[in-house]
Amino acid sequence: MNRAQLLQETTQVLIKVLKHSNFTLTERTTAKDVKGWDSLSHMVIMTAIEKHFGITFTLIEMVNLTDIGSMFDILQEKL
Amino acid sequence: MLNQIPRHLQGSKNTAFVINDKAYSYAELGVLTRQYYHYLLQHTEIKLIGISMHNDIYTYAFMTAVVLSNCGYVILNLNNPPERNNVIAQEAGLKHIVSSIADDTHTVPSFLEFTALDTIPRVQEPLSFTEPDPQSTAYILFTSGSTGKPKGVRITKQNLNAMLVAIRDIPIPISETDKVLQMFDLTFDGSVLMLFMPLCAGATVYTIDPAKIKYMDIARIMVTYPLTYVFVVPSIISLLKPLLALLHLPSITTFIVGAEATAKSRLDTIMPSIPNAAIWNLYGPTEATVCVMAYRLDANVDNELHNDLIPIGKPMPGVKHLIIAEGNVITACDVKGELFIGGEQLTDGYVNDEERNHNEFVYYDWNGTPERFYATGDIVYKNKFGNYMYCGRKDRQVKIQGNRIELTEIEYHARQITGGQAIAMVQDKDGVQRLHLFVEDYAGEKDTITQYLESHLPACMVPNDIINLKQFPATESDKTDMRKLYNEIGKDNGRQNE
Repeated sequence: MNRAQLLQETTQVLIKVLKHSNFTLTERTTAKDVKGWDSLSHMVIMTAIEKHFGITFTLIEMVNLTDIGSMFDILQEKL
Repeated sequence: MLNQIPRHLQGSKNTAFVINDKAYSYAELGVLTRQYYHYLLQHTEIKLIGISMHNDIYTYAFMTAVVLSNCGYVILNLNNPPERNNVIAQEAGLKHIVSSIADDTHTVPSFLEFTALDTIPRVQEPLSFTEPDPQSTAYILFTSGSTGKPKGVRITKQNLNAMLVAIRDIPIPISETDKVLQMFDLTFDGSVLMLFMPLCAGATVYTIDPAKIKYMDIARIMVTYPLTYVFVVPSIISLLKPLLALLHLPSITTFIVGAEATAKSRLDTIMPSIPNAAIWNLYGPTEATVCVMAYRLDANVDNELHNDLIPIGKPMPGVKHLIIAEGNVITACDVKGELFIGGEQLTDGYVNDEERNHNEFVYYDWNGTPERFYATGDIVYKNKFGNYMYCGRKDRQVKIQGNRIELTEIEYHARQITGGQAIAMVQDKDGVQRLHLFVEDYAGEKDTITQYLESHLPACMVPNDIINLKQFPATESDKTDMRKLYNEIGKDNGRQNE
Protein backbone atom coordinates (compact mmCIF):
# COMPACT_ATOMS: atom_id res chain seq x y z
CA MET A 1 0.00 0.00 0.00
CA ASN A 2 1.51 3.34 -0.94
CA ARG A 3 1.64 6.32 1.40
CA ALA A 4 -1.10 8.25 -0.39
CA GLN A 5 -3.46 5.33 0.18
CA LEU A 6 -2.33 5.06 3.81
CA LEU A 7 -3.07 8.75 4.24
CA GLN A 8 -6.53 8.40 2.76
CA GLU A 9 -7.48 5.35 4.82
CA THR A 10 -5.99 6.67 8.07
CA THR A 11 -7.97 9.86 7.58
CA GLN A 12 -11.16 7.81 7.32
CA VAL A 13 -10.29 5.87 10.51
CA LEU A 14 -9.72 9.12 12.39
CA ILE A 15 -12.97 10.64 11.13
CA LYS A 16 -14.85 7.57 12.34
CA VAL A 17 -13.27 7.57 15.81
CA LEU A 18 -13.23 11.33 16.40
CA LYS A 19 -16.60 11.96 14.74
CA HIS A 20 -15.37 15.03 12.88
CA SER A 21 -13.32 15.84 9.81
CA ASN A 22 -11.93 19.21 10.81
CA PHE A 23 -8.33 18.24 10.07
CA THR A 24 -6.02 17.68 7.15
CA LEU A 25 -3.72 14.78 7.74
CA THR A 26 -0.12 14.96 6.48
CA GLU A 27 2.95 12.88 7.28
CA ARG A 28 4.04 15.62 9.71
CA THR A 29 0.77 15.65 11.63
CA THR A 30 1.01 14.77 15.33
CA ALA A 31 -1.77 14.02 17.81
CA LYS A 32 -1.61 17.60 19.10
CA ASP A 33 -2.59 18.88 15.63
CA VAL A 34 -5.92 17.04 15.59
CA LYS A 35 -8.81 18.19 17.75
CA GLY A 36 -9.96 15.41 20.05
CA TRP A 37 -6.82 13.28 19.65
CA ASP A 38 -5.73 13.27 23.27
CA SER A 39 -4.82 10.90 26.11
CA LEU A 40 -8.40 9.69 26.35
CA SER A 41 -8.84 8.89 22.65
CA HIS A 42 -5.29 7.83 21.74
CA MET A 43 -5.60 4.12 22.51
CA VAL A 44 -9.00 3.95 20.80
CA ILE A 45 -7.42 5.45 17.68
CA MET A 46 -4.45 3.09 17.78
CA THR A 47 -6.72 0.07 18.22
CA ALA A 48 -8.92 1.24 15.33
CA ILE A 49 -5.85 1.62 13.09
CA GLU A 50 -4.60 -1.85 14.06
CA LYS A 51 -8.02 -3.31 13.28
CA HIS A 52 -8.45 -1.45 10.01
CA PHE A 53 -5.05 -2.52 8.62
CA GLY A 54 -5.08 -5.95 10.29
CA ILE A 55 -1.77 -5.43 12.08
CA THR A 56 -0.54 -5.16 15.69
CA PHE A 57 1.93 -2.56 16.93
CA THR A 58 4.57 -3.76 19.39
CA LEU A 59 5.08 -1.76 22.59
CA ILE A 60 8.35 -0.31 21.29
CA GLU A 61 6.73 0.71 18.00
CA MET A 62 3.75 2.25 19.74
CA VAL A 63 5.72 4.38 22.22
CA ASN A 64 8.18 5.61 19.60
CA LEU A 65 5.58 6.96 17.18
CA THR A 66 6.31 10.63 16.65
CA ASP A 67 3.98 11.61 13.81
CA ILE A 68 1.75 10.12 11.11
CA GLY A 69 4.78 9.54 8.86
CA SER A 70 6.53 7.42 11.50
CA MET A 71 3.37 5.33 11.77
CA PHE A 72 3.29 4.86 8.00
CA ASP A 73 6.90 3.58 8.10
CA ILE A 74 5.76 0.81 10.43
CA LEU A 75 2.54 0.12 8.51
CA GLN A 76 4.46 -0.25 5.25
CA GLU A 77 6.80 -2.77 6.88
CA LYS A 78 3.89 -4.81 8.14
CA LEU A 79 1.53 -4.65 5.18
CA MET B 1 18.24 21.34 51.27
CA LEU B 2 18.27 23.77 48.34
CA ASN B 3 21.81 24.69 49.39
CA GLN B 4 22.85 21.18 48.29
CA ILE B 5 22.24 22.08 44.66
CA PRO B 6 25.32 24.34 44.16
CA ARG B 7 27.58 21.50 45.35
CA HIS B 8 26.42 19.37 42.41
CA LEU B 9 26.71 22.28 40.00
CA GLN B 10 30.42 22.64 40.82
CA GLY B 11 31.41 20.42 37.93
CA SER B 12 29.93 17.00 38.57
CA LYS B 13 30.02 14.86 35.43
CA ASN B 14 26.85 13.12 36.59
CA THR B 15 23.87 13.68 34.31
CA ALA B 16 21.43 16.28 35.60
CA PHE B 17 18.79 16.10 32.88
CA VAL B 18 17.80 13.88 29.99
CA ILE B 19 15.53 15.93 27.73
CA ASN B 20 14.24 14.48 24.46
CA ASP B 21 16.99 11.82 24.72
CA LYS B 22 19.78 14.37 25.09
CA ALA B 23 21.80 14.24 28.32
CA TYR B 24 23.06 17.35 30.15
CA SER B 25 25.64 17.07 32.93
CA TYR B 26 25.50 18.97 36.21
CA ALA B 27 28.53 20.89 34.96
CA GLU B 28 26.55 22.05 31.91
CA LEU B 29 23.54 22.89 34.07
CA GLY B 30 25.94 24.75 36.40
CA VAL B 31 27.27 27.01 33.64
CA LEU B 32 23.76 28.11 32.67
CA THR B 33 22.50 28.37 36.24
CA ARG B 34 25.44 30.63 37.20
CA GLN B 35 24.81 32.79 34.13
CA TYR B 36 21.15 33.28 35.07
CA TYR B 37 21.91 33.65 38.78
CA HIS B 38 24.35 36.42 37.91
CA TYR B 39 21.62 38.10 35.85
CA LEU B 40 19.26 37.97 38.83
CA LEU B 41 22.00 39.39 41.10
CA GLN B 42 22.36 42.27 38.62
CA HIS B 43 18.61 42.88 38.74
CA THR B 44 17.79 42.78 42.44
CA GLU B 45 14.72 44.91 41.72
CA ILE B 46 13.14 41.80 40.16
CA LYS B 47 11.55 39.96 43.08
CA LEU B 48 9.28 37.87 40.89
CA ILE B 49 9.79 36.76 37.31
CA GLY B 50 7.63 34.99 34.77
CA ILE B 51 9.05 31.96 32.96
CA SER B 52 7.48 30.77 29.74
CA MET B 53 6.95 27.02 30.04
CA HIS B 54 9.28 24.97 27.82
CA ASN B 55 10.94 21.58 28.09
CA ASP B 56 14.59 22.52 27.68
CA ILE B 57 17.76 22.87 29.74
CA TYR B 58 17.61 26.68 29.63
CA THR B 59 14.20 26.78 31.29
CA TYR B 60 15.23 24.29 33.99
CA ALA B 61 18.49 26.17 34.61
CA PHE B 62 16.60 29.43 35.00
CA MET B 63 14.15 27.85 37.46
CA THR B 64 17.16 26.54 39.40
CA ALA B 65 18.81 29.96 39.42
CA VAL B 66 15.58 31.52 40.69
CA VAL B 67 15.17 29.18 43.68
CA LEU B 68 18.82 29.78 44.61
CA SER B 69 18.31 33.56 44.49
CA ASN B 70 16.07 36.04 46.29
CA CYS B 71 13.70 36.02 43.29
CA GLY B 72 10.62 33.85 42.76
CA TYR B 73 9.03 32.48 39.59
CA VAL B 74 5.61 32.24 38.01
CA ILE B 75 5.27 29.76 35.15
CA LEU B 76 3.15 30.88 32.20
CA ASN B 77 1.97 28.27 29.72
CA LEU B 78 1.53 30.19 26.48
CA ASN B 79 -0.69 27.41 25.12
CA ASN B 80 -3.30 28.53 27.65
CA PRO B 81 -5.71 31.31 26.66
CA PRO B 82 -3.98 34.74 26.56
CA GLU B 83 -6.71 36.19 28.77
CA ARG B 84 -5.91 33.68 31.51
CA ASN B 85 -2.18 34.40 31.28
CA ASN B 86 -2.94 38.13 31.49
CA VAL B 87 -4.97 37.59 34.66
CA ILE B 88 -2.24 35.44 36.21
CA ALA B 89 0.49 37.97 35.36
CA GLN B 90 -1.61 40.84 36.74
CA GLU B 91 -2.63 39.01 39.91
CA ALA B 92 0.96 37.98 40.61
CA GLY B 93 2.20 41.53 39.96
CA LEU B 94 4.60 40.34 37.26
CA LYS B 95 6.59 42.91 35.32
CA HIS B 96 9.20 40.70 33.65
CA ILE B 97 9.21 37.41 31.82
CA VAL B 98 11.97 35.26 30.33
CA SER B 99 11.78 32.55 27.73
CA SER B 100 14.09 30.13 25.98
CA ILE B 101 12.15 30.86 22.77
CA ALA B 102 12.69 34.37 21.40
CA ASP B 103 9.44 34.23 19.41
CA ASP B 104 7.47 34.09 22.66
CA THR B 105 7.88 37.86 22.77
CA HIS B 106 4.80 38.01 20.51
CA THR B 107 2.57 35.86 22.74
CA VAL B 108 3.45 36.83 26.32
CA PRO B 109 1.18 39.39 28.00
CA SER B 110 2.02 42.67 26.30
CA PHE B 111 2.62 44.61 29.52
CA LEU B 112 5.53 42.33 30.53
CA GLU B 113 9.14 43.18 29.77
CA PHE B 114 10.47 40.25 27.75
CA THR B 115 13.98 38.82 27.90
CA ALA B 116 15.11 35.94 25.71
CA LEU B 117 17.36 33.65 27.74
CA ASP B 118 19.96 33.49 24.97
CA THR B 119 20.53 37.24 25.31
CA ILE B 120 21.62 36.95 28.95
CA PRO B 121 25.39 37.42 28.98
CA ARG B 122 27.73 34.60 29.93
CA VAL B 123 29.60 34.92 33.23
CA GLN B 124 33.37 35.17 33.00
CA GLU B 125 34.31 35.36 36.68
CA PRO B 126 33.81 32.50 39.18
CA LEU B 127 30.55 32.93 41.04
CA SER B 128 29.42 31.47 44.31
CA PHE B 129 25.86 31.12 45.50
CA THR B 130 24.77 32.73 48.75
CA GLU B 131 21.81 31.53 50.80
CA PRO B 132 18.61 33.30 49.75
CA ASP B 133 16.29 35.08 52.17
CA PRO B 134 14.06 32.27 53.49
CA GLN B 135 11.05 34.59 53.32
CA SER B 136 11.60 35.41 49.66
CA THR B 137 9.20 33.91 47.16
CA ALA B 138 10.21 30.60 45.59
CA TYR B 139 7.23 30.46 43.25
CA ILE B 140 3.61 31.50 42.90
CA LEU B 141 1.43 28.75 41.54
CA PHE B 142 -2.06 29.45 40.22
CA THR B 143 -4.86 26.97 40.77
CA SER B 144 -8.46 26.96 39.63
CA GLY B 145 -10.61 29.47 41.53
CA SER B 146 -14.29 29.02 42.32
CA THR B 147 -15.16 32.64 41.40
CA GLY B 148 -13.99 32.28 37.80
CA LYS B 149 -10.53 33.68 38.48
CA PRO B 150 -7.42 31.56 39.15
CA LYS B 151 -5.95 31.99 42.63
CA GLY B 152 -2.24 32.38 43.26
CA VAL B 153 -0.53 30.54 46.10
CA ARG B 154 2.78 32.07 47.22
CA ILE B 155 5.38 29.58 48.40
CA THR B 156 8.58 30.85 50.04
CA LYS B 157 12.07 29.37 50.04
CA GLN B 158 11.43 28.41 53.66
CA ASN B 159 8.23 26.55 52.69
CA LEU B 160 10.03 24.76 49.87
CA ASN B 161 13.02 23.83 52.02
CA ALA B 162 10.73 22.53 54.76
CA MET B 163 8.99 20.22 52.29
CA LEU B 164 12.27 18.90 50.86
CA VAL B 165 13.63 18.28 54.38
CA ALA B 166 10.41 16.48 55.38
CA ILE B 167 10.57 14.19 52.32
CA ARG B 168 14.19 13.39 53.19
CA ASP B 169 13.29 12.68 56.81
CA ILE B 170 10.27 10.42 56.18
CA PRO B 171 12.50 9.01 54.65
CA ILE B 172 11.86 8.51 50.95
CA PRO B 173 15.49 7.99 50.01
CA ILE B 174 17.04 9.42 46.86
CA SER B 175 20.69 9.56 45.83
CA GLU B 176 22.86 10.68 42.95
CA THR B 177 22.51 7.27 41.32
CA ASP B 178 18.73 7.67 40.99
CA LYS B 179 17.05 8.19 37.62
CA VAL B 180 13.91 10.20 38.21
CA LEU B 181 10.83 10.73 36.04
CA GLN B 182 9.43 14.30 35.98
CA MET B 183 6.03 14.07 34.28
CA PHE B 184 4.29 17.13 35.68
CA ASP B 185 3.51 20.35 33.85
CA LEU B 186 5.58 23.16 35.33
CA THR B 187 2.33 24.96 36.23
CA PHE B 188 1.57 22.03 38.58
CA ASP B 189 3.39 21.78 41.90
CA GLY B 190 4.31 18.11 41.47
CA SER B 191 7.02 19.51 39.18
CA VAL B 192 8.56 21.41 42.09
CA LEU B 193 9.12 18.16 43.99
CA MET B 194 10.32 16.18 40.98
CA LEU B 195 12.79 18.83 39.83
CA PHE B 196 14.32 20.18 43.01
CA MET B 197 14.39 16.99 45.09
CA PRO B 198 16.56 15.18 42.48
CA LEU B 199 18.74 18.27 41.97
CA CYS B 200 19.37 18.45 45.73
CA ALA B 201 20.49 14.82 45.63
CA GLY B 202 22.52 15.06 42.41
CA ALA B 203 20.21 12.57 40.68
CA THR B 204 19.20 12.52 37.00
CA VAL B 205 15.86 13.98 35.90
CA TYR B 206 14.09 12.57 32.82
CA THR B 207 11.50 14.98 31.47
CA ILE B 208 8.67 14.23 29.10
CA ASP B 209 7.95 15.95 25.82
CA PRO B 210 4.82 18.12 26.14
CA ALA B 211 4.26 17.84 22.38
CA LYS B 212 3.45 14.15 22.74
CA ILE B 213 0.61 12.19 24.31
CA LYS B 214 1.78 12.30 27.91
CA TYR B 215 1.32 8.71 28.99
CA MET B 216 2.83 7.38 25.76
CA ASP B 217 5.97 9.44 26.33
CA ILE B 218 6.07 8.22 29.93
CA ALA B 219 5.91 4.63 28.61
CA ARG B 220 8.63 5.41 26.06
CA ILE B 221 10.97 6.77 28.75
CA MET B 222 10.17 3.83 31.02
CA VAL B 223 11.10 1.25 28.39
CA THR B 224 14.11 3.21 27.10
CA TYR B 225 15.84 4.11 30.38
CA PRO B 226 16.33 2.18 33.64
CA LEU B 227 14.35 4.64 35.75
CA THR B 228 14.54 4.09 39.51
CA TYR B 229 12.28 6.77 40.92
CA VAL B 230 8.85 7.50 39.46
CA PHE B 231 5.94 9.72 40.57
CA VAL B 232 2.74 9.55 38.53
CA VAL B 233 -0.87 10.56 39.05
CA PRO B 234 -3.09 7.47 39.35
CA SER B 235 -4.97 8.23 36.13
CA ILE B 236 -1.71 7.65 34.24
CA ILE B 237 -1.82 4.06 35.52
CA SER B 238 -5.32 3.72 34.09
CA LEU B 239 -4.24 5.15 30.74
CA LEU B 240 -1.23 2.80 30.67
CA LYS B 241 -3.46 -0.19 31.38
CA PRO B 242 -3.46 -1.57 27.79
CA LEU B 243 0.36 -1.53 27.86
CA LEU B 244 0.97 -2.80 31.40
CA ALA B 245 1.17 -6.48 30.43
CA LEU B 246 4.12 -5.55 28.21
CA LEU B 247 5.84 -3.25 30.72
CA HIS B 248 8.45 -4.91 32.95
CA LEU B 249 10.21 -2.30 35.05
CA PRO B 250 12.41 -4.03 37.63
CA SER B 251 14.74 -1.03 37.94
CA ILE B 252 12.07 1.09 39.64
CA THR B 253 12.72 1.04 43.39
CA THR B 254 10.52 4.00 44.38
CA PHE B 255 7.08 4.38 42.84
CA ILE B 256 4.99 7.29 44.08
CA VAL B 257 1.37 8.07 43.33
CA GLY B 258 -0.47 11.21 44.39
CA ALA B 259 -2.31 14.38 43.39
CA GLU B 260 -5.53 12.33 43.13
CA ALA B 261 -7.25 9.78 45.32
CA THR B 262 -5.62 6.40 44.72
CA ALA B 263 -7.70 3.24 44.39
CA LYS B 264 -6.06 -0.03 45.42
CA SER B 265 -7.58 -1.81 42.42
CA ARG B 266 -5.80 0.66 40.17
CA LEU B 267 -2.45 0.07 41.90
CA ASP B 268 -2.97 -3.68 41.62
CA THR B 269 -2.82 -3.40 37.84
CA ILE B 270 0.70 -1.95 37.82
CA MET B 271 2.24 -3.86 40.73
CA PRO B 272 3.38 -6.86 38.60
CA SER B 273 5.27 -4.40 36.35
CA ILE B 274 7.23 -2.87 39.26
CA PRO B 275 8.21 -5.90 41.36
CA ASN B 276 11.08 -4.18 43.20
CA ALA B 277 9.39 -0.88 44.04
CA ALA B 278 8.44 0.57 47.40
CA ILE B 279 5.06 2.15 46.67
CA TRP B 280 4.15 5.49 48.25
CA ASN B 281 1.03 7.62 48.26
CA LEU B 282 1.69 11.34 48.73
CA TYR B 283 -1.04 13.74 49.74
CA GLY B 284 -1.04 17.50 50.06
CA PRO B 285 -2.56 20.78 48.94
CA THR B 286 -0.62 23.37 46.95
CA GLU B 287 -1.15 25.71 49.92
CA ALA B 288 1.14 23.52 52.05
CA THR B 289 3.87 23.03 49.43
CA VAL B 290 3.11 19.92 47.37
CA CYS B 291 2.75 17.20 50.00
CA VAL B 292 2.16 16.89 53.73
CA MET B 293 1.28 13.24 54.26
CA ALA B 294 2.89 10.04 53.07
CA TYR B 295 1.85 6.42 53.14
CA ARG B 296 4.03 3.47 52.23
CA LEU B 297 2.00 0.57 50.93
CA ASP B 298 2.39 -2.50 53.14
CA ALA B 299 0.82 -5.90 53.67
CA ASN B 300 -1.90 -4.40 55.89
CA VAL B 301 -3.31 -2.17 53.14
CA ASP B 302 -6.33 -4.35 52.41
CA ASN B 303 -7.48 -3.89 56.03
CA GLU B 304 -7.40 -0.11 55.69
CA LEU B 305 -9.18 0.64 52.41
CA HIS B 306 -11.99 3.19 52.34
CA ASN B 307 -14.17 2.70 49.25
CA ASP B 308 -11.14 1.02 47.68
CA LEU B 309 -8.96 4.09 48.37
CA ILE B 310 -5.60 3.49 50.05
CA PRO B 311 -4.60 5.63 53.07
CA ILE B 312 -3.03 9.04 52.55
CA GLY B 313 -0.87 8.07 55.52
CA LYS B 314 0.73 9.95 58.35
CA PRO B 315 1.80 13.60 58.52
CA MET B 316 5.31 14.25 57.27
CA PRO B 317 7.86 15.52 59.83
CA GLY B 318 7.06 19.07 60.95
CA VAL B 319 3.51 19.06 59.60
CA LYS B 320 0.76 20.16 62.02
CA HIS B 321 -2.60 18.56 61.45
CA LEU B 322 -6.11 18.64 62.88
CA ILE B 323 -9.45 17.11 62.00
CA ILE B 324 -12.26 19.56 62.65
CA ALA B 325 -15.98 18.76 62.66
CA GLU B 326 -18.54 21.46 63.51
CA GLY B 327 -15.81 23.58 65.06
CA ASN B 328 -14.51 20.84 67.33
CA VAL B 329 -11.17 19.11 67.13
CA ILE B 330 -11.66 15.39 66.57
CA THR B 331 -9.22 13.10 68.34
CA ALA B 332 -11.11 9.81 68.14
CA CYS B 333 -10.45 7.26 65.42
CA ASP B 334 -12.86 6.72 62.54
CA VAL B 335 -14.67 10.08 63.00
CA LYS B 336 -14.85 12.16 59.85
CA GLY B 337 -14.08 15.86 59.65
CA GLU B 338 -12.25 18.45 57.57
CA LEU B 339 -8.47 18.26 57.50
CA PHE B 340 -6.60 21.37 58.62
CA ILE B 341 -2.88 21.69 57.92
CA GLY B 342 -0.27 23.93 59.55
CA GLY B 343 3.50 24.12 59.99
CA GLU B 344 6.51 25.42 58.17
CA GLN B 345 5.30 24.29 54.74
CA LEU B 346 2.16 26.44 54.96
CA THR B 347 1.85 29.36 52.52
CA ASP B 348 1.38 32.85 53.90
CA GLY B 349 -1.67 33.07 51.68
CA TYR B 350 -3.17 33.78 48.28
CA VAL B 351 -1.94 36.83 46.41
CA ASN B 352 -4.44 39.70 46.28
CA ASP B 353 -7.24 37.84 48.04
CA GLU B 354 -7.70 39.00 51.62
CA GLU B 355 -11.22 37.61 51.83
CA ARG B 356 -10.12 34.11 50.92
CA ASN B 357 -7.09 34.39 53.22
CA HIS B 358 -9.43 35.31 56.04
CA ASN B 359 -11.82 32.45 55.36
CA GLU B 360 -9.46 29.61 54.55
CA PHE B 361 -6.68 30.21 57.07
CA VAL B 362 -7.69 30.02 60.71
CA TYR B 363 -6.01 29.77 64.10
CA TYR B 364 -6.39 26.74 66.35
CA ASP B 365 -4.60 25.71 69.48
CA TRP B 366 -1.58 23.48 68.88
CA ASN B 367 0.09 22.20 72.04
CA GLY B 368 -0.99 25.30 73.99
CA THR B 369 -0.13 27.97 71.43
CA PRO B 370 -2.26 29.41 68.65
CA GLU B 371 -1.18 28.07 65.27
CA ARG B 372 -2.27 29.08 61.77
CA PHE B 373 -3.95 26.31 59.79
CA TYR B 374 -5.28 25.94 56.24
CA ALA B 375 -8.76 24.49 55.83
CA THR B 376 -8.12 21.97 53.05
CA GLY B 377 -11.77 21.21 52.24
CA ASP B 378 -10.80 17.52 52.28
CA ILE B 379 -12.90 15.22 54.43
CA VAL B 380 -10.79 12.63 56.23
CA TYR B 381 -10.70 10.35 59.26
CA LYS B 382 -7.86 8.73 61.13
CA ASN B 383 -8.05 4.94 61.26
CA LYS B 384 -7.01 2.67 64.12
CA PHE B 385 -3.60 2.18 62.52
CA GLY B 386 -2.92 5.92 62.76
CA ASN B 387 -3.29 6.53 59.04
CA TYR B 388 -5.40 9.32 57.59
CA MET B 389 -8.04 8.21 55.11
CA TYR B 390 -9.41 10.48 52.36
CA CYS B 391 -13.21 10.41 52.01
CA GLY B 392 -13.96 13.21 49.54
CA ARG B 393 -14.41 16.97 49.30
CA LYS B 394 -16.73 19.28 51.20
CA ASP B 395 -17.06 21.46 48.09
CA ARG B 396 -17.06 20.83 44.34
CA GLN B 397 -13.34 20.84 43.73
CA VAL B 398 -12.22 17.85 41.64
CA LYS B 399 -9.00 16.37 40.33
CA ILE B 400 -8.78 15.50 36.64
CA GLN B 401 -5.61 13.73 35.58
CA GLY B 402 -4.08 15.32 38.70
CA ASN B 403 -5.17 18.87 37.82
CA ARG B 404 -7.04 20.62 40.62
CA ILE B 405 -10.21 22.10 39.19
CA GLU B 406 -13.10 24.07 40.65
CA LEU B 407 -16.20 22.98 38.73
CA THR B 408 -17.75 26.34 39.61
CA GLU B 409 -15.04 28.10 37.58
CA ILE B 410 -16.04 26.15 34.46
CA GLU B 411 -19.72 26.83 35.16
CA TYR B 412 -19.01 30.54 35.63
CA HIS B 413 -17.45 30.80 32.17
CA ALA B 414 -20.14 28.60 30.58
CA ARG B 415 -22.85 30.90 31.93
CA GLN B 416 -21.14 33.89 30.30
CA ILE B 417 -21.88 32.39 26.88
CA THR B 418 -25.13 30.50 27.46
CA GLY B 419 -26.82 33.03 29.71
CA GLY B 420 -28.54 30.12 31.45
CA GLN B 421 -27.79 27.35 33.91
CA ALA B 422 -24.62 25.30 33.55
CA ILE B 423 -23.44 22.39 35.66
CA ALA B 424 -20.10 20.65 35.28
CA MET B 425 -19.62 17.06 36.40
CA VAL B 426 -16.87 14.48 36.39
CA GLN B 427 -17.37 10.86 35.43
CA ASP B 428 -14.77 8.27 36.35
CA LYS B 429 -14.66 5.69 33.60
CA ASP B 430 -12.17 2.85 34.11
CA GLY B 431 -10.05 5.10 36.30
CA VAL B 432 -9.91 7.96 33.80
CA GLN B 433 -11.84 11.13 34.57
CA ARG B 434 -13.97 12.79 31.91
CA LEU B 435 -15.43 16.25 32.27
CA HIS B 436 -19.05 16.83 31.22
CA LEU B 437 -20.96 20.10 31.04
CA PHE B 438 -24.75 20.29 31.22
CA VAL B 439 -26.50 23.36 29.83
CA GLU B 440 -30.21 24.06 29.99
CA ASP B 441 -32.32 24.91 26.96
CA TYR B 442 -29.43 26.44 25.05
CA ALA B 443 -30.48 27.58 21.57
CA GLY B 444 -26.97 27.90 20.12
CA GLU B 445 -24.43 25.38 18.89
CA LYS B 446 -22.45 23.33 21.39
CA ASP B 447 -19.26 24.21 19.48
CA THR B 448 -19.84 27.86 20.36
CA ILE B 449 -19.66 26.99 24.06
CA THR B 450 -16.58 24.83 23.53
CA GLN B 451 -14.80 27.55 21.57
CA TYR B 452 -15.63 30.12 24.26
CA LEU B 453 -14.34 27.84 27.03
CA GLU B 454 -11.19 27.06 25.03
CA SER B 455 -10.49 30.77 24.80
CA HIS B 456 -10.87 31.29 28.55
CA LEU B 457 -9.71 28.11 30.27
CA PRO B 458 -6.71 25.75 30.12
CA ALA B 459 -7.27 22.62 28.03
CA CYS B 460 -7.66 20.41 31.11
CA MET B 461 -10.73 22.46 32.13
CA VAL B 462 -12.56 22.26 28.81
CA PRO B 463 -15.35 19.63 29.02
CA ASN B 464 -15.03 16.45 26.97
CA ASP B 465 -18.66 16.85 25.98
CA ILE B 466 -21.61 19.17 26.41
CA ILE B 467 -25.09 17.91 27.13
CA ASN B 468 -27.95 20.26 26.31
CA LEU B 469 -31.21 19.47 28.13
CA LYS B 470 -34.56 21.16 27.64
CA GLN B 471 -34.92 21.26 31.40
CA PHE B 472 -32.72 20.07 34.24
CA PRO B 473 -34.32 17.30 36.34
CA ALA B 474 -35.44 18.51 39.77
CA THR B 475 -35.77 16.92 43.19
CA GLU B 476 -38.97 17.17 45.23
CA SER B 477 -37.54 20.28 46.87
CA ASP B 478 -37.00 21.84 43.43
CA LYS B 479 -33.22 21.58 43.54
CA THR B 480 -31.40 20.23 40.50
CA ASP B 481 -31.36 16.46 40.79
CA MET B 482 -27.62 15.83 40.37
CA ARG B 483 -28.02 12.05 40.37
CA LYS B 484 -30.49 12.13 37.48
CA LEU B 485 -28.29 14.63 35.70
CA TYR B 486 -25.31 12.29 36.09
CA ASN B 487 -27.35 9.49 34.56
CA GLU B 488 -27.74 11.57 31.39
CA ILE B 489 -24.01 11.16 30.69
CA GLY B 490 -23.42 8.91 27.72
CA LYS B 491 -26.99 9.10 26.40
CA ASP B 492 -27.54 10.29 22.86
CA ASN B 493 -27.87 13.99 23.47
CA GLY B 494 -27.64 15.05 19.86
CA ARG B 495 -31.39 14.46 19.75
CA GLN B 496 -31.94 16.79 22.71
CA ASN B 497 -29.96 19.51 21.04
CA GLU B 498 -32.30 19.65 18.06
